[in-house]
Amino acid sequence: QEILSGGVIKDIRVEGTQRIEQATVRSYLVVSQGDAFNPDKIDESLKALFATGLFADVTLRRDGDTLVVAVVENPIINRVVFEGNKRVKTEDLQSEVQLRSRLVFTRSRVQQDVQRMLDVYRRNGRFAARIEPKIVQLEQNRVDLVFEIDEGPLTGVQLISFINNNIYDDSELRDVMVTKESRWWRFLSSDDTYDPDRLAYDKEQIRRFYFRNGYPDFRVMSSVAELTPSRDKFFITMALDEGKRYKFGKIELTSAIKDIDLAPLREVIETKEGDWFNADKIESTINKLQDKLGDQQYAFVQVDPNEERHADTQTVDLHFEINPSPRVFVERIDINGNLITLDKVVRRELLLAEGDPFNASKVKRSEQRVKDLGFFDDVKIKPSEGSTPDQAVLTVDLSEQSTGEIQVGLGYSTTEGALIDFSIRQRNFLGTGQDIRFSTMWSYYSKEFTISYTDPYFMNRDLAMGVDLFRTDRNANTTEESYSYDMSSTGFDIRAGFPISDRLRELVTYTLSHTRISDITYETTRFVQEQVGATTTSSVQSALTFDARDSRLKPTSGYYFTVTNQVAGLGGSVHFLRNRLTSGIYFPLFSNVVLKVEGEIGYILGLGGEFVRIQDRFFLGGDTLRGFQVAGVGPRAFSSNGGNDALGGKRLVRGTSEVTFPLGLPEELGVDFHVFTDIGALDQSGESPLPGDDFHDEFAFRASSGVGVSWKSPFGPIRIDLAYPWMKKSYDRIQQFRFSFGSQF
Amino acid sequence: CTPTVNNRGNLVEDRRLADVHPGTSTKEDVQKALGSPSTTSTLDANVWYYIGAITENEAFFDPDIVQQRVLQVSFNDQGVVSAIGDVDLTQQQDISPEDRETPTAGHEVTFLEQLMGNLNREKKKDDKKKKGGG
Amino acid sequence: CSSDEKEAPYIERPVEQIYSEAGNAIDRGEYQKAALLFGAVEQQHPYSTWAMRAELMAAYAYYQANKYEEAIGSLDRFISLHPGNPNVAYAYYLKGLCYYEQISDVRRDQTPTVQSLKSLEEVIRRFPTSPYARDAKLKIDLTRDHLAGKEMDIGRYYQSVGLNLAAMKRFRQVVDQYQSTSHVPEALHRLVEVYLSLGMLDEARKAAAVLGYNYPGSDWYQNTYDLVKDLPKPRVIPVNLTAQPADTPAATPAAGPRAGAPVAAPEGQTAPAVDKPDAKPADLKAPEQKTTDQKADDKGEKPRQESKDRGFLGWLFGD
Repeated sequence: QEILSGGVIKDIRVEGTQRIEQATVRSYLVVSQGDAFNPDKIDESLKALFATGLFADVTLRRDGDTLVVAVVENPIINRVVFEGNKRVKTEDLQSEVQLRSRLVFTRSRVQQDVQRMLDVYRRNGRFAARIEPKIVQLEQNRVDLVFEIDEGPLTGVQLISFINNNIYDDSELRDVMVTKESRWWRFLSSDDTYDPDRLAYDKEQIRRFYFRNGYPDFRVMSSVAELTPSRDKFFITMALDEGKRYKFGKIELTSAIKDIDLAPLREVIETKEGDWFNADKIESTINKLQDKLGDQQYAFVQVDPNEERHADTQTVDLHFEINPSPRVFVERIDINGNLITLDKVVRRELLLAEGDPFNASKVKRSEQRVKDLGFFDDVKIKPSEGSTPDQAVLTVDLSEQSTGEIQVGLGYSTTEGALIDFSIRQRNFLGTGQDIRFSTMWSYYSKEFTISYTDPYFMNRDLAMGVDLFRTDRNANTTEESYSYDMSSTGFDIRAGFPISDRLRELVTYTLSHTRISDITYETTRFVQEQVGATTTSSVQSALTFDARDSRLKPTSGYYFTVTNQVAGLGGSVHFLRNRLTSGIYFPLFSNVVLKVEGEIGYILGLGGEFVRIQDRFFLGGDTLRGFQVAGVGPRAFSSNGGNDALGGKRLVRGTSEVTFPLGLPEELGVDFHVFTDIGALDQSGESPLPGDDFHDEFAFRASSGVGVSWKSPFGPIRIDLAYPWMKKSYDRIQQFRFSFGSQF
Repeated sequence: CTPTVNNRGNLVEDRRLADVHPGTSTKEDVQKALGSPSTTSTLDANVWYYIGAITENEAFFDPDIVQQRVLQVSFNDQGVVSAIGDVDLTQQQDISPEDRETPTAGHEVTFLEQLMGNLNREKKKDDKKKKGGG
Repeated sequence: CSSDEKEAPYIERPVEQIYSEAGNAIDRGEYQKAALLFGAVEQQHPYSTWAMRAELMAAYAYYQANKYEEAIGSLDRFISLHPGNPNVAYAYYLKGLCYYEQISDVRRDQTPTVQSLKSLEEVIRRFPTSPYARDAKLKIDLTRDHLAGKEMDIGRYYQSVGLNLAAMKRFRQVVDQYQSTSHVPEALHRLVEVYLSLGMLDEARKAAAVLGYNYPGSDWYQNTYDLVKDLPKPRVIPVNLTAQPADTPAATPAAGPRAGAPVAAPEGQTAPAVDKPDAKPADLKAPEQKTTDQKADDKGEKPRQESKDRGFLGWLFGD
């Protein structure tokens, strides 16, 4: 392009524009009418026009005193078509690709899109995928863009091997990794495909494994993944440098802030002199010290660990130093992403308010409290600098998940037979955090309706108020011989729950219910016959719970106990005192295998020697004592004409120990196996034997052991239990096989 | 059982006050010693307040105040400390806030809308989900 | 446009036919269909003179069908392709409306409010003389009023749970940053309430003076007046640093001795440099009786505008 310099541009003519306006082209030119013909400026204009990405070609030439701008517009994409993609759906590819119909087609954008699609295939373990973009010319300078995709085979991991790992052999290290070697029985899992991100995660896991077991000098020298010529298999090799094994040397705790009482803090230190070096223990010690200091209201302190390694004695001295941290205050807390949830429903969970001292562990605990609401699938609290260096702004980013549940269930259980249940629930009603639920359950033998409403922060206080209305009808179940009379009860309760301290919680419930026993059959024992009729129960119950488990939904460690006392007799026709103590301990045996040991003792006392009616007594069996029918254990009367009734008891002792383990299947399948042993005893029905009834009432332990499978299948939870009662009484009712399945759709 | 203890606002201890001297300390000195003021007077930027408290709350009862301080630091026009004093907390009035509110507008989320979940803003797809099985 | 837009059946048709069909769809109120048809015009005849207009009409149809995401997408494309076009002002304005329509109530996420403010301010900055600037200005005021409403909502929450400092910071934010909004009188009254519960009587009196001076007719001033009219003299106990105060440990729960012995408050309490109102706090005027006409602080129009703007159609179908 020979642009002769000199002379003035009298006129600018734009040629070749079709869709784009001339004014738009001119707006990108650096030169304008009246400027001199200056090659640099004109070159700049050329670059500017190309940078817009709108033009396939741009030429500037001089025609006398007119600058001619000749452009060829990039074609417009008419349609984008994907061919040959089977494993990855078209929508997934479409959302990954930038080019769409009506956008401008440029070669560079096509290359970028091809690369993006290859990344999707790599993430799905298909490194041999090839993608060919094809163009179909249409009139009016339009094109159809076709991506021809050859997905190629799954690239699995053939072998994972390690170099100079003298202390732990290859298989031990492979157990630590998530990536597994391809084997036929791993058809369900995707962990045996090659994924570079997952491999980097594995490297970190191995590093932490060595740090946990006493090797602070450990390093991964290199990790290489070679693709076989057939492009369907990878060989992974990791070269390690283990270093020597260290023990903990001197452990010191000092504080740069005077008058901090170090004694209670020392108890929290987990790193003991002489133990093997363990990085996790150091980390958890720091967290524990930090929390303890936080509880003692030291707002601005931090714990700094310094390690001193002695290669000669192979010991590591630890010095935990408590130093003042900079004084930072929370200037402002912004909450984003709450499309439905009200701002205060989130804000009231935060342990910090605006103006308070900034405290990292409180921010972490606040994040956990908001997560525990169960309204969000992602919660992140990010601090950033405020208007002055000593002020911080906290931004709470939320992404809401649906909290409404509509469940229609078809089920079968050996105790109830076929059953239908329907429930509609909204755990975050109109974003106010209030929980509203209506549920009903129908089976051949019983019908239930419940409506319940809970406001977790009644009047902006940490006070959970709730109301339930319920009605249950249970018909005689002669075939199963558990109950030989009809019982129906209707009523409501009002409950209030509040924390006493951060682990201790109290729940007070007032209940008013009307219960009627009727329609006894010919075989019903005379004893039960006398209890026909209606009673009204008006009772207040207090339930004090101390919960030190690591999680409420899936506990793996910690313990809890609950003391429940119920007094019936404030009005109503029934007077009794019912007390129960329930407690459970969880032991994490090894990776996600958990032993649970749980026990319960209960005692009912008729007030003023009053006779305790059958519907208020304890029953044992079914879920509470596997291997036996519902109410299959405990005092029992036999009528002269062949019928028998479980009378229930006033004194109950029961216990269970259960080990749950996943048996190697990948976690996302939700299959767990259980081995359990249940024991239990129930006595003191308080009846004197009536003439005409044969009668058993004794304090004798029953026991059963068994195995179970539970599966959170896509269409509903299934549970199968097989229990053998190896210690029982002749008159107990046995039920070795229990099966329950509920489907939600 | 131990009530939960909270540190609210910027409670200035006497120890830190020792570094602030009327007549000599400037605004920067006070800022360094006590931090940024909790607030300044509505009309006069030369009057700083440091407001802080330690509260304990048990169960659902109102938090009771263990220790509270409203410190007033006044500066002259040259920005030098002219007076330091504690607001007399016995003068705290027990008022019940007016429950009227200035009206605001904006689209209210209706129950049906929440149930159907069809808010008019599409939720952004989470790219983690796009990883998808092989 | 977002990926889930249903592709119109792909048949090549002369541009005028598609365009007029789309126009009829608009008149019949079938905005979704109209948007797809305008999209087809642009797709099949990108170089026709109709394409540019179709792009804007597609955005307008999406806006009417409350498909704000798609509308904003095609408006952004129009703005980037035709920056010089005379209708680009309308494009910016319509984009502001798209965000404006999604404003949810103050207790929930306010991202659309902030986005609406940003794009409406851009309309005023780029096209101050355009017919849309006036309405954009009105909507900006309502959007800022809405943001002030959110600050008040959070402030009232903190006040209701006794966190007075946090509440004070929020109400001060309204008084300092949102001075032209309808929430300032209430913010000042809330400040009086918070100052009183903290014992800062002097500040309460000053805030009351500002409220009385600027909004004498407001109900809020009536409430404030009732609270402050018979207040005791504010007392500030000077901290005497000479006597070495007992060394209270760093913020330990043990209540340290009160700073300094209670000394009679200094007499010459210097009058606060009241820059806004000239009235001394001592002689607070009794609030004026409300005149029957509109009170100063209640604004009529709600941000959610029911009727869509008809001005644009005139331009399109007029010529």
